[in-house]
Amino acid sequence: MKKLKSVWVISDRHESLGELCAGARSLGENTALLGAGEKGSLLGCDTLFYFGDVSSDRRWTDYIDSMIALAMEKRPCLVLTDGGKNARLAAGRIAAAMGTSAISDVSEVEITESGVQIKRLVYGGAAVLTARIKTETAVLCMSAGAFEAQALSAAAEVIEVPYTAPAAEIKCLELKSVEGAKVNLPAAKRVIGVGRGFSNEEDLELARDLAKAIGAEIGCTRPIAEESKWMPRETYIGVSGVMLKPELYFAIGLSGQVQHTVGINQSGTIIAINKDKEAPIFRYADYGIVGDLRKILPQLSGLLKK
Amino acid sequence: MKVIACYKVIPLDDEISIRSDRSVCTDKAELIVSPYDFNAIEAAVKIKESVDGVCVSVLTAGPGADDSKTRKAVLSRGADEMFGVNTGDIQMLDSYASAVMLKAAIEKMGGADLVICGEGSGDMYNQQVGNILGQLMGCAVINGVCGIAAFEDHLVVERKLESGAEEMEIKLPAVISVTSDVNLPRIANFKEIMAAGKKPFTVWSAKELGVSDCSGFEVVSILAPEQTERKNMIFSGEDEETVLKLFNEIRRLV
Repeated sequence: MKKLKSVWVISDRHESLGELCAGARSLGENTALLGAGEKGSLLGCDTLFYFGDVSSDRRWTDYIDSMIALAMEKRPCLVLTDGGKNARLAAGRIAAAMGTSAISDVSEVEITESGVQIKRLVYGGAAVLTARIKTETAVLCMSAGAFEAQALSAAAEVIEVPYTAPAAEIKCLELKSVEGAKVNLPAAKRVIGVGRGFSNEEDLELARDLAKAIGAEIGCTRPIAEESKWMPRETYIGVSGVMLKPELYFAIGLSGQVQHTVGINQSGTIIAINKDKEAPIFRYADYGIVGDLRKILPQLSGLLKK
Repeated sequence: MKVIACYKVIPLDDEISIRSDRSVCTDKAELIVSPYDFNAIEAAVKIKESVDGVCVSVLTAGPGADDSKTRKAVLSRGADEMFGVNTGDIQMLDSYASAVMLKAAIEKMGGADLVICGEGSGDMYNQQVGNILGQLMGCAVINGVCGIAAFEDHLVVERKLESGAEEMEIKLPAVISVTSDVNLPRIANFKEIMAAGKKPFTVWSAKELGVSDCSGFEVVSILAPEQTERKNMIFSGEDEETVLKLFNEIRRLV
């Protein structure tokens, strides 16, 4: 594949670097990581542009103006980041400064004769947008799992970048660390999706038992996350157009609306359990049982635990 | 204080259909206000209710800007006036082009102290218009806002990140993007819906504002993905024997 001259990686989350830096290496001749915080953990690209420490006085986001100044000077062909809130903010601002849009939740990047081409889900997951970037620089927020993660090696050169004070200061008053739902559905090898077929919250325990038996993550459909609020919004399959690629997907008590079935289309094997034999999900399933999940799940978990 | 809440008019997702060539048909889909933008409007109206002398406008850019039903829907939620940029034939703008159109309209409106955007639109969900707009306007910009306290010349916002939360003080002018848990948007009552029809509105064409489609990307295709071939081996029943049949098929996979 043709390679770009320079690809940059930006992220405030160390766990993203394995994938993003591997992606940068596969797409670019020269790679650079724009980093702030603990220097020793900023690995994975040929060059490290180092901005400084992250503290409550100077947040990672305070360095975005410095990143913009550097991007305007060096004009990279491609900037890759992840889907975190800070990463998206940096991506949007850098892109705007360079006269283009940041594109979010990108699942595939290809370098074609006519430039960078990307794929992402649109219309709540019902369709795939394929688009070509016309501008000099492409700024992409990648979906988790878009690149195969690789081990990180130290940068060959480290360049300290002087601080550009933000034009509009935003002061951090307080920091709280919250116990967030640490789910990473796109990276999970096994996923259980639960839907409205779970008519009361206690029944979700049956899905959790199955998840424990096979080491799976649990995701859900919109009604479970947004109407009954039994599960956190981060676990909702469909909202952000996240493509799941598990080896095994269990669709339990969900009907299989188009937005859902597209999001799980790349699953290895799909197993459906639903009491309605007309549920569309059965058309997208490799295996399935028409029946009551409350009776089937305990038996299935019991067998799989053995 | 002038507060502008931005919204997008989109096709209702339940009424989007897929043609036999896998292309997407939105022609028959009803136009609606993108759901998360109601959170932006609610946030603006809440500020008006808590701080004296706040005027709330709503602003949209796109091919549905002159749709009257969505205009009444946003005005019935407490905004004072609606503005729009009608892009006519240009159906698809990227976040940059949308932000450029919004910025031109905001300048025409005489500027703003605070612009509030929703987290992302229901159709594209690119989650970038607010970030790009703030950068273009050269003011303070932040996303992921899940709590707002407004004062005369600044905001104190709560921001939710993957690993924690931040409380930030932002001097106005600013552009913020709010998450869907920032508030619970109000439902308009009959009186408010009737009154919305009498509120002032202005819709410019993109040409009148001197802006054109400056999207940084070119759409190659928008297609429903090809369906993966599936085995479709479906059993029926809840007894031990049926569950065992399924188990025997999948045991080698787990």
